[in-house]
Amino acid sequence: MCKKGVASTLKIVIEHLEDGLWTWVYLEYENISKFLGRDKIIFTNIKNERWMRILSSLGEVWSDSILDYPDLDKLIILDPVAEERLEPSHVRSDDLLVIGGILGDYPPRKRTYKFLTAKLLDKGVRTYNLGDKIFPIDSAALVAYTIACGKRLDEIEIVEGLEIPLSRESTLILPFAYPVVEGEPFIHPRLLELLKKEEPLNTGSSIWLEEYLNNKLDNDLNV
Amino acid sequence: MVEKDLSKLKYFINKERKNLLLKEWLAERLAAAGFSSMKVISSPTGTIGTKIIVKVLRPGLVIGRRGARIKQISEEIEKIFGYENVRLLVYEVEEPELDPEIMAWQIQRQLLRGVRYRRVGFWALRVIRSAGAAGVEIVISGKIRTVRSAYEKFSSGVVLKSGELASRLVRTAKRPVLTKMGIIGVKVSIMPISLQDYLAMQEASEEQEGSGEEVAEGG
Repeated sequence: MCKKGVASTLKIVIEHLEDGLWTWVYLEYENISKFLGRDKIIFTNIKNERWMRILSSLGEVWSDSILDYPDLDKLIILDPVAEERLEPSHVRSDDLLVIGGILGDYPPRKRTYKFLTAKLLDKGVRTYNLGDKIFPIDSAALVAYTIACGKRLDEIEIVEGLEIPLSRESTLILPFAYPVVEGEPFIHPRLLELLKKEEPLNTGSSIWLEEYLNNKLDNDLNV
Repeated sequence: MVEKDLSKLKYFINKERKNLLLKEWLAERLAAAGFSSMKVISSPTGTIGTKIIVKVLRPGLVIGRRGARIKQISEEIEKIFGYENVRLLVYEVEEPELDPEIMAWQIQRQLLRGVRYRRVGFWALRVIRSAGAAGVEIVISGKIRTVRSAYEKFSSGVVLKSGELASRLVRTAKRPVLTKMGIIGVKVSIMPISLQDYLAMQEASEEQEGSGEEVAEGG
Protein backbone atom coordinates (compact mmCIF):
# COMPACT_ATOMS: atom_id res chain seq x y z
CA MET A 1 0.00 0.00 0.00
CA CYS A 2 1.35 3.44 -0.88
CA LYS A 3 2.57 5.47 2.04
CA LYS A 4 4.14 8.30 0.09
CA GLY A 5 2.93 11.79 -0.73
CA VAL A 6 -0.51 12.84 0.46
CA ALA A 7 -1.32 9.37 1.80
CA SER A 8 1.66 9.34 4.15
CA THR A 9 0.15 11.94 6.46
CA LEU A 10 -3.61 11.75 6.03
CA LYS A 11 -5.73 9.71 8.41
CA ILE A 12 -8.90 7.71 8.17
CA VAL A 13 -11.51 8.65 10.76
CA ILE A 14 -14.20 6.10 11.53
CA GLU A 15 -17.08 7.75 13.38
CA HIS A 16 -18.69 4.90 15.31
CA LEU A 17 -22.44 5.23 14.84
CA GLU A 18 -23.71 1.80 15.84
CA ASP A 19 -25.40 1.20 19.20
CA GLY A 20 -23.00 -1.61 20.03
CA LEU A 21 -19.60 -2.90 19.11
CA TRP A 22 -20.92 -5.83 17.10
CA THR A 23 -18.68 -8.65 15.94
CA TRP A 24 -19.17 -7.69 12.35
CA VAL A 25 -18.26 -4.04 13.01
CA TYR A 26 -15.27 -5.02 15.12
CA LEU A 27 -13.89 -7.36 12.46
CA GLU A 28 -14.26 -4.68 9.81
CA TYR A 29 -12.39 -2.23 12.05
CA GLU A 30 -9.69 -4.82 12.69
CA ASN A 31 -9.40 -5.64 9.00
CA ILE A 32 -8.70 -2.07 7.91
CA SER A 33 -6.45 -1.40 10.89
CA LYS A 34 -4.31 -4.45 10.12
CA PHE A 35 -4.08 -3.49 6.46
CA LEU A 36 -3.32 0.23 6.70
CA GLY A 37 -1.66 0.18 10.09
CA ARG A 38 -2.74 1.36 13.52
CA ASP A 39 -1.27 4.83 12.98
CA LYS A 40 -3.61 5.54 10.05
CA ILE A 41 -6.90 5.00 11.87
CA ILE A 42 -8.82 7.17 14.34
CA PHE A 43 -12.02 5.89 15.94
CA THR A 44 -14.30 8.69 17.11
CA ASN A 45 -17.54 8.83 19.12
CA ILE A 46 -16.45 5.93 21.36
CA LYS A 47 -18.24 6.63 24.62
CA ASN A 48 -17.88 3.25 26.25
CA GLU A 49 -14.63 2.72 28.20
CA ARG A 50 -14.43 -0.96 27.43
CA TRP A 51 -14.77 -0.31 23.71
CA MET A 52 -12.07 2.35 24.03
CA ARG A 53 -9.74 -0.23 25.51
CA ILE A 54 -10.62 -2.79 22.84
CA LEU A 55 -10.27 -0.36 19.93
CA SER A 56 -7.07 1.23 21.19
CA SER A 57 -5.21 -1.79 19.82
CA LEU A 58 -6.56 -0.94 16.36
CA GLY A 59 -6.04 2.81 16.25
CA GLU A 60 -6.28 6.14 18.04
CA VAL A 61 -9.55 6.40 19.99
CA TRP A 62 -11.47 9.61 20.68
CA SER A 63 -14.51 9.73 22.90
CA ASP A 64 -15.68 12.91 21.15
CA SER A 65 -17.60 12.86 17.92
CA ILE A 66 -15.94 14.17 14.78
CA LEU A 67 -18.81 16.67 14.70
CA ASP A 68 -17.01 18.51 17.52
CA TYR A 69 -13.67 18.68 15.67
CA PRO A 70 -12.52 22.32 15.64
CA ASP A 71 -10.77 22.40 12.27
CA LEU A 72 -13.63 21.53 9.93
CA ASP A 73 -11.60 22.53 6.83
CA LYS A 74 -9.59 19.37 7.24
CA LEU A 75 -12.56 17.04 7.15
CA ILE A 76 -13.71 15.12 4.09
CA ILE A 77 -16.92 13.22 4.75
CA LEU A 78 -17.43 10.20 2.56
CA ASP A 79 -21.14 9.86 2.09
CA PRO A 80 -22.98 7.93 -0.65
CA VAL A 81 -25.48 10.80 -0.83
CA ALA A 82 -22.79 13.42 -1.71
CA GLU A 83 -23.03 14.72 -5.26
CA GLU A 84 -19.38 14.71 -6.26
CA ARG A 85 -17.14 11.66 -6.51
CA LEU A 86 -13.86 11.59 -4.56
CA GLU A 87 -10.84 12.21 -6.81
CA PRO A 88 -7.15 12.08 -5.88
CA SER A 89 -6.90 15.86 -6.36
CA HIS A 90 -9.53 16.49 -3.65
CA VAL A 91 -7.33 15.11 -0.86
CA ARG A 92 -4.70 17.22 0.93
CA SER A 93 -1.91 15.80 3.06
CA ASP A 94 -3.34 16.83 6.45
CA ASP A 95 -6.93 15.85 5.69
CA LEU A 96 -9.08 13.50 7.73
CA LEU A 97 -11.17 11.15 5.60
CA VAL A 98 -14.33 10.51 7.63
CA ILE A 99 -16.31 7.30 7.22
CA GLY A 100 -19.56 6.51 9.01
CA GLY A 101 -18.98 3.49 11.24
CA ILE A 102 -22.35 1.99 10.55
CA LEU A 103 -23.34 -1.33 9.08
CA GLY A 104 -25.12 -0.55 5.89
CA ASP A 105 -28.55 -1.77 5.03
CA TYR A 106 -29.50 -3.07 1.65
CA PRO A 107 -31.14 -1.01 0.19
CA PRO A 108 -29.29 1.83 1.97
CA ARG A 109 -31.07 4.10 4.48
CA LYS A 110 -28.75 7.11 4.07
CA ARG A 111 -27.78 7.10 7.74
CA THR A 112 -24.31 8.58 7.20
CA TYR A 113 -26.07 11.62 5.77
CA LYS A 114 -28.55 11.74 8.65
CA PHE A 115 -25.99 11.33 11.46
CA LEU A 116 -22.99 13.12 9.97
CA THR A 117 -23.30 15.10 6.76
CA ALA A 118 -26.59 16.83 7.55
CA LYS A 119 -25.14 18.21 10.79
CA LEU A 120 -22.04 19.68 9.12
CA LEU A 121 -23.33 20.67 5.70
CA ASP A 122 -24.01 24.31 6.54
CA LYS A 123 -20.51 24.62 8.04
CA GLY A 124 -18.91 24.13 4.65
CA VAL A 125 -17.47 20.65 5.18
CA ARG A 126 -16.37 18.88 2.00
CA THR A 127 -18.40 15.76 1.15
CA TYR A 128 -17.71 13.25 -1.60
CA ASN A 129 -19.06 9.87 -2.62
CA LEU A 130 -17.28 6.66 -3.58
CA GLY A 131 -19.51 5.89 -6.55
CA ASP A 132 -22.91 4.26 -6.47
CA LYS A 133 -21.82 0.99 -4.85
CA ILE A 134 -22.41 0.14 -1.19
CA PHE A 135 -19.14 -0.61 0.60
CA PRO A 136 -18.63 -2.13 4.05
CA ILE A 137 -16.70 0.14 6.46
CA ASP A 138 -13.28 -1.47 5.87
CA SER A 139 -13.74 -1.54 2.10
CA ALA A 140 -14.85 2.11 2.03
CA ALA A 141 -11.78 3.08 4.04
CA LEU A 142 -9.48 1.15 1.73
CA VAL A 143 -11.05 2.57 -1.43
CA ALA A 144 -10.81 6.13 -0.04
CA TYR A 145 -7.19 5.60 0.95
CA THR A 146 -6.36 4.14 -2.48
CA ILE A 147 -7.89 7.21 -4.13
CA ALA A 148 -5.81 9.44 -1.84
CA CYS A 149 -2.79 7.46 -3.06
CA GLY A 150 -3.51 8.71 -6.57
CA LYS A 151 -5.72 6.04 -8.15
CA ARG A 152 -9.09 6.99 -9.58
CA LEU A 153 -12.16 5.02 -8.45
CA ASP A 154 -12.62 3.39 -11.86
CA GLU A 155 -9.03 2.13 -11.75
CA ILE A 156 -9.64 0.17 -8.55
CA GLU A 157 -10.69 -3.45 -9.01
CA ILE A 158 -13.98 -4.01 -7.19
CA VAL A 159 -16.27 -7.05 -6.91
CA GLU A 160 -19.96 -6.62 -6.26
CA GLY A 161 -22.01 -9.19 -4.36
CA LEU A 162 -19.88 -11.72 -2.53
CA GLU A 163 -21.16 -15.30 -2.79
CA ILE A 164 -20.08 -17.64 -0.01
CA PRO A 165 -20.98 -21.26 -0.71
CA LEU A 166 -22.09 -22.92 2.53
CA SER A 167 -23.17 -26.32 1.29
CA ARG A 168 -24.28 -28.01 -1.92
CA GLU A 169 -27.73 -26.48 -1.52
CA SER A 170 -27.13 -23.12 0.10
CA THR A 171 -25.19 -19.96 -0.62
CA LEU A 172 -24.84 -16.83 1.46
CA ILE A 173 -24.74 -13.63 -0.56
CA LEU A 174 -23.46 -10.31 0.76
CA PRO A 175 -24.88 -7.62 -1.51
CA PHE A 176 -21.99 -5.17 -1.02
CA ALA A 177 -18.92 -4.09 -2.99
CA TYR A 178 -15.41 -5.16 -2.03
CA PRO A 179 -12.08 -3.96 -3.45
CA VAL A 180 -9.84 -6.79 -4.63
CA VAL A 181 -6.54 -7.20 -2.79
CA GLU A 182 -4.10 -9.79 -4.14
CA GLY A 183 -6.87 -11.46 -6.10
CA GLU A 184 -9.26 -11.79 -3.13
CA PRO A 185 -12.14 -9.57 -1.96
CA PHE A 186 -11.10 -7.37 0.98
CA ILE A 187 -12.92 -9.08 3.85
CA HIS A 188 -11.70 -10.34 7.21
CA PRO A 189 -11.04 -14.12 6.96
CA ARG A 190 -12.52 -14.62 10.43
CA LEU A 191 -15.71 -12.92 9.29
CA LEU A 192 -15.98 -15.45 6.46
CA GLU A 193 -15.50 -18.26 9.01
CA LEU A 194 -18.17 -16.78 11.25
CA LEU A 195 -20.65 -16.38 8.42
CA LYS A 196 -20.40 -20.08 7.65
CA LYS A 197 -21.58 -20.96 11.13
CA GLU A 198 -25.23 -20.67 11.99
CA GLU A 199 -26.13 -18.08 14.58
CA PRO A 200 -29.55 -17.38 16.10
CA LEU A 201 -31.60 -14.86 14.14
CA ASN A 202 -31.77 -11.96 16.53
CA THR A 203 -28.79 -12.08 18.84
CA GLY A 204 -25.88 -11.16 16.58
CA SER A 205 -22.66 -12.86 17.60
CA SER A 206 -21.76 -11.25 20.89
CA ILE A 207 -20.68 -14.51 22.59
CA TRP A 208 -18.27 -15.24 19.79
CA LEU A 209 -16.87 -11.70 19.98
CA GLU A 210 -16.30 -11.97 23.73
CA GLU A 211 -14.36 -15.20 23.28
CA TYR A 212 -12.42 -13.79 20.35
CA LEU A 213 -11.50 -10.62 22.20
CA ASN A 214 -10.54 -12.46 25.40
CA ASN A 215 -8.20 -14.73 23.45
CA LYS A 216 -6.85 -11.82 21.48
CA LEU A 217 -6.26 -9.66 24.54
CA ASP A 218 -4.69 -12.56 26.45
CA ASN A 219 -2.54 -13.92 23.66
CA ASP A 220 -1.74 -11.12 21.22
CA LEU A 221 -1.51 -8.15 23.50
CA ASN A 222 -0.66 -9.87 26.74
CA VAL A 223 -3.15 -7.73 28.67
CA MET B 1 -59.63 6.56 -32.03
CA VAL B 2 -56.70 7.22 -29.77
CA GLU B 3 -59.05 8.42 -27.02
CA LYS B 4 -61.10 5.24 -27.35
CA ASP B 5 -57.95 3.11 -27.08
CA LEU B 6 -56.81 5.07 -24.05
CA SER B 7 -60.13 4.63 -22.29
CA LYS B 8 -59.96 0.88 -23.00
CA LEU B 9 -56.45 0.83 -21.56
CA LYS B 10 -57.62 2.74 -18.52
CA TYR B 11 -60.50 0.32 -18.04
CA PHE B 12 -58.20 -2.72 -18.00
CA ILE B 13 -55.62 -1.02 -15.78
CA ASN B 14 -58.33 -0.12 -13.27
CA LYS B 15 -59.74 -3.63 -13.42
CA GLU B 16 -56.32 -5.19 -12.75
CA ARG B 17 -55.61 -2.70 -10.00
CA LYS B 18 -58.89 -3.56 -8.31
CA ASN B 19 -58.12 -7.29 -8.58
CA LEU B 20 -54.66 -6.75 -7.13
CA LEU B 21 -56.05 -4.80 -4.19
CA LEU B 22 -58.62 -7.54 -3.64
CA LYS B 23 -55.88 -10.18 -3.73
CA GLU B 24 -53.85 -8.28 -1.13
CA TRP B 25 -56.91 -7.85 1.04
CA LEU B 26 -57.85 -11.53 0.79
CA ALA B 27 -54.27 -12.61 1.52
CA GLU B 28 -54.40 -10.61 4.73
CA ARG B 29 -57.97 -11.56 5.66
CA LEU B 30 -57.51 -15.26 4.97
CA ALA B 31 -53.93 -15.53 6.23
CA ALA B 32 -54.88 -18.02 8.95
CA ALA B 33 -56.56 -20.25 6.38
CA GLY B 34 -53.42 -20.34 4.19
CA PHE B 35 -54.39 -18.17 1.23
CA SER B 36 -52.89 -19.32 -2.07
CA SER B 37 -54.55 -17.62 -5.04
CA MET B 38 -57.74 -16.02 -6.31
CA LYS B 39 -59.48 -15.42 -9.59
CA VAL B 40 -62.27 -12.98 -10.39
CA ILE B 41 -64.80 -13.95 -13.05
CA SER B 42 -67.32 -11.29 -13.92
CA SER B 43 -69.57 -10.70 -16.90
CA PRO B 44 -68.84 -7.51 -18.89
CA THR B 45 -72.12 -5.92 -17.88
CA GLY B 46 -72.02 -7.23 -14.34
CA THR B 47 -75.60 -8.48 -14.55
CA ILE B 48 -74.92 -12.06 -13.47
CA GLY B 49 -72.75 -11.05 -10.56
CA THR B 50 -69.11 -11.67 -9.74
CA LYS B 51 -67.63 -15.08 -9.10
CA ILE B 52 -64.49 -15.05 -6.97
CA ILE B 53 -62.60 -18.32 -6.82
CA VAL B 54 -60.28 -18.59 -3.83
CA LYS B 55 -57.77 -21.36 -3.18
CA VAL B 56 -56.72 -21.91 0.42
CA LEU B 57 -55.06 -24.57 2.53
CA ARG B 58 -57.93 -24.87 5.03
CA PRO B 59 -61.30 -24.11 3.34
CA GLY B 60 -63.21 -24.79 6.56
CA LEU B 61 -61.79 -21.65 8.13
CA VAL B 62 -63.06 -19.52 5.23
CA ILE B 63 -66.50 -21.11 5.09
CA GLY B 64 -67.17 -20.94 8.82
CA ARG B 65 -70.08 -22.40 10.73
CA ARG B 66 -73.00 -22.93 8.34
CA GLY B 67 -71.31 -20.64 5.85
CA ALA B 68 -71.45 -17.63 8.16
CA ARG B 69 -67.88 -16.48 7.54
CA ILE B 70 -67.98 -16.87 3.76
CA LYS B 71 -71.17 -14.80 3.71
CA GLN B 72 -69.56 -12.12 5.84
CA ILE B 73 -66.44 -11.99 3.63
CA SER B 74 -68.59 -11.78 0.46
CA GLU B 75 -70.48 -8.85 1.91
CA GLU B 76 -67.25 -7.12 2.92
CA ILE B 77 -65.89 -7.53 -0.63
CA GLU B 78 -69.05 -5.99 -2.07
CA LYS B 79 -68.82 -3.10 0.35
CA ILE B 80 -65.10 -2.36 0.07
CA PHE B 81 -64.41 -3.09 -3.59
CA GLY B 82 -67.79 -2.40 -5.16
CA TYR B 83 -68.25 -5.79 -6.84
CA GLU B 84 -71.88 -6.78 -7.35
CA ASN B 85 -73.55 -10.02 -6.23
CA VAL B 86 -70.31 -11.64 -5.07
CA ARG B 87 -70.24 -15.43 -5.04
CA LEU B 88 -67.18 -16.68 -3.20
CA LEU B 89 -66.12 -20.20 -4.20
CA VAL B 90 -63.54 -21.78 -1.92
CA TYR B 91 -61.31 -24.63 -3.04
CA GLU B 92 -58.64 -26.54 -1.20
CA VAL B 93 -55.12 -26.33 -2.64
CA GLU B 94 -54.45 -29.75 -4.15
CA GLU B 95 -50.71 -29.93 -3.63
CA PRO B 96 -49.78 -27.35 -0.98
CA GLU B 97 -46.11 -28.38 -1.08
CA LEU B 98 -45.90 -27.28 -4.71
CA ASP B 99 -47.67 -23.98 -4.08
CA PRO B 100 -45.14 -21.16 -3.53
CA GLU B 101 -47.69 -18.94 -1.73
CA ILE B 102 -48.44 -21.68 0.80
CA MET B 103 -44.78 -22.56 1.29
CA ALA B 104 -43.79 -18.89 1.71
CA TRP B 105 -46.56 -18.61 4.29
CA GLN B 106 -45.30 -21.73 6.10
CA ILE B 107 -41.75 -20.30 6.16
CA GLN B 108 -43.10 -16.98 7.44
CA ARG B 109 -44.94 -18.74 10.29
CA GLN B 110 -41.88 -20.71 11.33
CA LEU B 111 -39.60 -17.65 11.27
CA LEU B 112 -42.10 -15.76 13.41
CA ARG B 113 -42.05 -18.65 15.86
CA GLY B 114 -38.31 -18.15 16.20
CA VAL B 115 -37.09 -21.20 14.28
CA ARG B 116 -33.64 -20.62 12.81
CA TYR B 117 -33.83 -19.44 9.23
CA ARG B 118 -31.38 -22.00 7.91
CA ARG B 119 -33.35 -24.85 9.44
CA VAL B 120 -36.55 -23.46 7.93
CA GLY B 121 -34.89 -23.06 4.53
CA PHE B 122 -33.64 -26.65 4.40
CA TRP B 123 -36.96 -27.97 5.74
CA ALA B 124 -38.92 -26.18 2.99
CA LEU B 125 -36.42 -27.34 0.39
CA ARG B 126 -36.86 -30.98 1.42
CA VAL B 127 -40.66 -30.77 1.61
CA ILE B 128 -41.00 -29.21 -1.84
CA ARG B 129 -38.56 -31.60 -3.48
CA SER B 130 -40.19 -34.63 -1.82
CA ALA B 131 -43.52 -33.52 -3.27
CA GLY B 132 -42.01 -34.02 -6.72
CA ALA B 133 -40.93 -30.53 -7.78
CA ALA B 134 -38.30 -30.44 -10.51
CA GLY B 135 -36.61 -27.47 -8.90
CA VAL B 136 -36.91 -25.04 -6.04
CA GLU B 137 -35.16 -21.87 -4.94
CA ILE B 138 -35.77 -20.17 -1.60
CA VAL B 139 -34.21 -16.81 -0.81
CA ILE B 140 -34.30 -15.45 2.72
CA SER B 141 -32.98 -11.90 2.88
CA GLY B 142 -32.51 -9.11 5.40
CA LYS B 143 -30.72 -9.00 8.72
CA ILE B 144 -30.84 -12.76 8.97
CA ARG B 145 -27.61 -13.38 10.85
CA THR B 146 -26.31 -10.22 12.44
CA VAL B 147 -26.86 -6.52 12.17
CA ARG B 148 -25.81 -6.30 8.54
CA SER B 149 -28.08 -7.27 5.66
CA ALA B 150 -27.33 -10.38 3.69
CA TYR B 151 -29.31 -13.02 1.92
CA GLU B 152 -29.11 -16.76 1.76
CA LYS B 153 -30.20 -18.83 -1.18
CA PHE B 154 -31.34 -22.43 -0.77
CA SER B 155 -31.69 -24.27 -4.04
CA SER B 156 -32.17 -27.75 -5.32
CA GLY B 157 -32.90 -29.08 -8.81
CA VAL B 158 -33.40 -26.79 -11.78
CA VAL B 159 -35.34 -23.51 -11.72
CA LEU B 160 -35.50 -21.58 -14.99
CA LYS B 161 -34.59 -17.93 -14.57
CA SER B 162 -35.52 -16.28 -17.83
CA GLY B 163 -37.41 -16.67 -21.06
CA GLU B 164 -40.93 -17.61 -22.04
CA LEU B 165 -40.67 -21.09 -20.52
CA ALA B 166 -39.63 -19.67 -17.15
CA SER B 167 -42.74 -17.49 -17.03
CA ARG B 168 -44.88 -20.53 -17.87
CA LEU B 169 -43.24 -23.10 -15.62
CA VAL B 170 -41.93 -21.26 -12.58
CA ARG B 171 -44.27 -19.92 -9.92
CA THR B 172 -42.93 -17.41 -7.41
CA ALA B 173 -44.26 -15.97 -4.17
CA LYS B 174 -42.83 -13.32 -1.85
CA ARG B 175 -43.65 -12.63 1.76
CA PRO B 176 -42.29 -10.15 4.30
CA VAL B 177 -41.65 -11.30 7.87
CA LEU B 178 -41.43 -8.68 10.59
CA THR B 179 -38.87 -9.79 13.19
CA LYS B 180 -37.16 -7.92 16.03
CA MET B 181 -34.18 -7.21 13.76
CA GLY B 182 -36.34 -5.76 11.01
CA ILE B 183 -38.12 -7.03 7.96
CA ILE B 184 -36.95 -10.30 6.46
CA GLY B 185 -37.98 -11.12 2.92
CA VAL B 186 -38.93 -14.63 1.86
CA LYS B 187 -39.07 -15.54 -1.80
CA VAL B 188 -40.05 -19.02 -2.97
CA SER B 189 -39.75 -20.11 -6.60
CA ILE B 190 -40.99 -23.55 -7.56
CA MET B 191 -40.75 -25.33 -10.89
CA PRO B 192 -43.24 -28.19 -10.48
CA ILE B 193 -42.31 -30.17 -13.61
CA SER B 194 -39.03 -30.54 -15.42
CA LEU B 195 -38.40 -28.99 -18.81
CA GLN B 196 -38.16 -32.44 -20.46
CA ASP B 197 -41.53 -33.50 -19.01
CA TYR B 198 -43.11 -30.23 -20.08
CA LEU B 199 -41.81 -30.56 -23.65
CA ALA B 200 -42.93 -34.21 -23.80
CA MET B 201 -46.40 -33.17 -22.63
CA GLN B 202 -46.52 -30.43 -25.24
CA GLU B 203 -45.47 -32.87 -27.94
CA ALA B 204 -48.07 -35.41 -26.84
CA SER B 205 -50.86 -32.83 -26.82
CA GLU B 206 -49.82 -31.58 -30.26
CA GLU B 207 -49.86 -35.15 -31.57
CA GLN B 208 -53.30 -35.67 -30.06
CA GLU B 209 -54.60 -32.52 -31.71
CA GLY B 210 -53.07 -33.62 -35.02
CA SER B 211 -54.67 -37.10 -34.90
CA GLY B 212 -58.00 -35.51 -33.92
CA GLU B 213 -57.89 -33.31 -37.01
CA GLU B 214 -57.04 -36.27 -39.23
CA VAL B 215 -60.05 -38.21 -37.87
CA ALA B 216 -62.27 -35.22 -38.43
CA GLU B 217 -61.00 -34.83 -41.97
CA GLY B 218 -61.41 -38.56 -42.61
CA GLY B 219 -65.04 -38.50 -41.31
